[in-house]
Amino acid sequence: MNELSPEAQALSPETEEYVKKAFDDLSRRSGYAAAKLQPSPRPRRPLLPALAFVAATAVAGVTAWQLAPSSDTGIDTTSSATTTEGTASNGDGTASDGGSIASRSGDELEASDAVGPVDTGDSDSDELATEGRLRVATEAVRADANDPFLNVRSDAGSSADLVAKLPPTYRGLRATGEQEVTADGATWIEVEMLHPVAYSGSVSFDANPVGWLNAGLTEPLVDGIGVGLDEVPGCTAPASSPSSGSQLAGSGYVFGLESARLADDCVRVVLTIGEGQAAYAWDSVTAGTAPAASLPAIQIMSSGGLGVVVDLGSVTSAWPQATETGGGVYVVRAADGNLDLVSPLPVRSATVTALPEIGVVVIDLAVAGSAPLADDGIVLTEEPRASAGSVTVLGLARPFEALLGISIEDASGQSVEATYSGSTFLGTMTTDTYAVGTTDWTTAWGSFAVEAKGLDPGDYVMLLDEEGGQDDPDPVRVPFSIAEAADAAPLVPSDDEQKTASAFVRFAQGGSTDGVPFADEVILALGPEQHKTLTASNLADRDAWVVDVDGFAEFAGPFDLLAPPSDGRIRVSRGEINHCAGPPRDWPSDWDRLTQVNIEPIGIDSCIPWYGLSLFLNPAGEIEVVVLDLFGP
Amino acid sequence: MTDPPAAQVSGGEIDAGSIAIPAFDAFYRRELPAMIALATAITGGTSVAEDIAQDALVQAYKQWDQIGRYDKPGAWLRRVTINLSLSRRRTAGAELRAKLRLKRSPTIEPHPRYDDMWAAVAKLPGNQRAAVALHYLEDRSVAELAAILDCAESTARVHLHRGRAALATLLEGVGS
Repeated sequence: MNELSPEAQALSPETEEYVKKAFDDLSRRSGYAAAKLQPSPRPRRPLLPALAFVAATAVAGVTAWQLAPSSDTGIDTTSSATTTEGTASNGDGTASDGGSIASRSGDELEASDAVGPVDTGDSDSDELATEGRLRVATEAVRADANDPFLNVRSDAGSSADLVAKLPPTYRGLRATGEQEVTADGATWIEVEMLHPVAYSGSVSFDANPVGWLNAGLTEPLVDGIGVGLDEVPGCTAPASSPSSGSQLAGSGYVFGLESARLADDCVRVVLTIGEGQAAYAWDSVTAGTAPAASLPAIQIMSSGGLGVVVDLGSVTSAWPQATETGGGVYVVRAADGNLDLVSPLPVRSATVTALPEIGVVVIDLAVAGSAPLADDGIVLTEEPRASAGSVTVLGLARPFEALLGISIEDASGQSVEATYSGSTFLGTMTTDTYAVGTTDWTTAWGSFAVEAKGLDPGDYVMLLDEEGGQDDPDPVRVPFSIAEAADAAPLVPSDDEQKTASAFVRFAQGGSTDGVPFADEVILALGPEQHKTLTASNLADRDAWVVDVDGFAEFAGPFDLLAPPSDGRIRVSRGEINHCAGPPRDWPSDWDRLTQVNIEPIGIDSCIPWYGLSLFLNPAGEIEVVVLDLFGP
Repeated sequence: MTDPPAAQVSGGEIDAGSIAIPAFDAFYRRELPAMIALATAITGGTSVAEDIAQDALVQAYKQWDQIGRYDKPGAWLRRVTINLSLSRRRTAGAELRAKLRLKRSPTIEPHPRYDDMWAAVAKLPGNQRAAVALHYLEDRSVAELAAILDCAESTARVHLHRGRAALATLLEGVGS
């Protein structure tokens, strides 16, 4: 087949001519035109066919993130983990479908197309699924008992080389727009394979595996995303309590990530997990593998001011192409090297459904509001925190070589100096340009935090350059203002302090004390008043965390120190924090040697629901004191 | 770069055992302008394009005993040039170093009427940029693109396809 069909074109004639002239001009100026030794140029190839190009907007169900403002009534974030053996629509539950692909021998791959042209009775190609997101027509493919797989080939037609065999439950197809009717009347379409599949070639780092298949053996996806609402109902009421069981064994790598808005307040994330580890080179990856036979344990948590963080458990690597998404969710390399799935959007509830037979995890987020700022390469996870003379910016990015360039301009556009901190290799320095490192930039997003001090009152813009220096012609611009007299803003915690707070939150939300760095004795306090001391013998006893007093700060007791961080979005900071509308507390002098790390809610509209859960850490990073503070006179 | 030492290059082929290796200087003279054009197209017309082309040819020279025996040493050279172009994210310092090294020699600057074109190309992902450049500069077939980009033909077709479709969007109305 001619790769370029003569009857259609992607560029208008005028634009095509313009492009040719531009390259001819370059060829002349570089001396290449004169140096060409070939006697005559080959005839210009026919032009590419027009297409409904695969862009985010062409995928059914994917919409822009234009949400209504948050109602600020306080949000619930709960988690549940459920496992389904299959889906309602196809009843499939065989995990071996995907796993067997990787073990197929070369002889089997040479088998002729087991499912030839299909007379659907609807032979009009207009009625065939040829565009957008598709899935394998399960029953039609299963009908061939000898070879119940859909063959994918290097070109249109049964005689082309076999490049992959798709199980009947495969849902990860996206049409590129190219199609051809072969001599036998079958319509073949070119597709990208978005879910794990054993593929007989290598794949470039910025592309999915591609091949051709018979369109008559595909169906459109109902909701335009790998798992539709007809298969897994979305954004249903979460389980009454977070599930700490259902821990699935196994590990794998992130093969693909897609997200789509299924309703105004419901976002679905479909995460595909492949077997083993993907080797990553600079510009290529090894052939895709089958879906992971079992899925890693996944937990949902909220921490550090982020909307939702999904701890991906034992998934420790990601394929670069898999982590490119503009759907408002990001695969992020945490400080400990593991992967998290992060949504900066305000989230009311989150549920997880695992479909191990196809290596898919479905995460539904009931959302409201919008992320503070999101660009293709940089995302803020909360609004900039500006206080007297300083500003703190936190977010996610995958800048070139994991280096995010920082600078600040004043209202007149002039660059200003500031005392920056946040970079582990630059430390604190006073300069007009700075750079912070992120935890990843190739296989996942990385997080960053930067603080700038020494700014006079006024309006400013922080420029975030994802090219690493000042080479980005269109840096992300973050406006902020320094007020004349503002309350002191909390400081940015270190990575270890963040991890400690996250571990404590997981414990408070129902997890174990494993990984929480408690000291041998832990004091529990309400405000500055110490009430009890826990030891290793009763730290894990959740009842021991209840302080049984009649009242504190105008609230009636008893008070469960593990209760507050179980709900809503939270922020982690270090140092003094305001007592909501009041000044910081005066702590006992015994605690002066300890570092204060705080957990507070954000997104609240009054001091009534406010709480401050402060962890006081000794120099070894161990929690010696846990303080619950509430608003009150 | 300077020409290789005369002692290593004859006017014709260098006999290495029973296999004749083409002279590097002829390869260099033929390929340098092409690599400059290719690097310029991918990097968006900056002074480091010549630097990149020279670096790629230096690599070829260093390994000429092996590269020269390839059926298509030009494909290898193009792959190296593309990789260097895509990985060369210029900082101000790198640009300055390149200019100093070239002693402010005239750079290749496309005609201003094509500024829109090169701005659009600069927005393309790396492999799409390379595919478009090879297609228009050298009339490469998809099979040849695949050989140069070291990928499957279907992948190369997708790169070219996406690149041209992206240009169609970015250049809508331009040229009319």
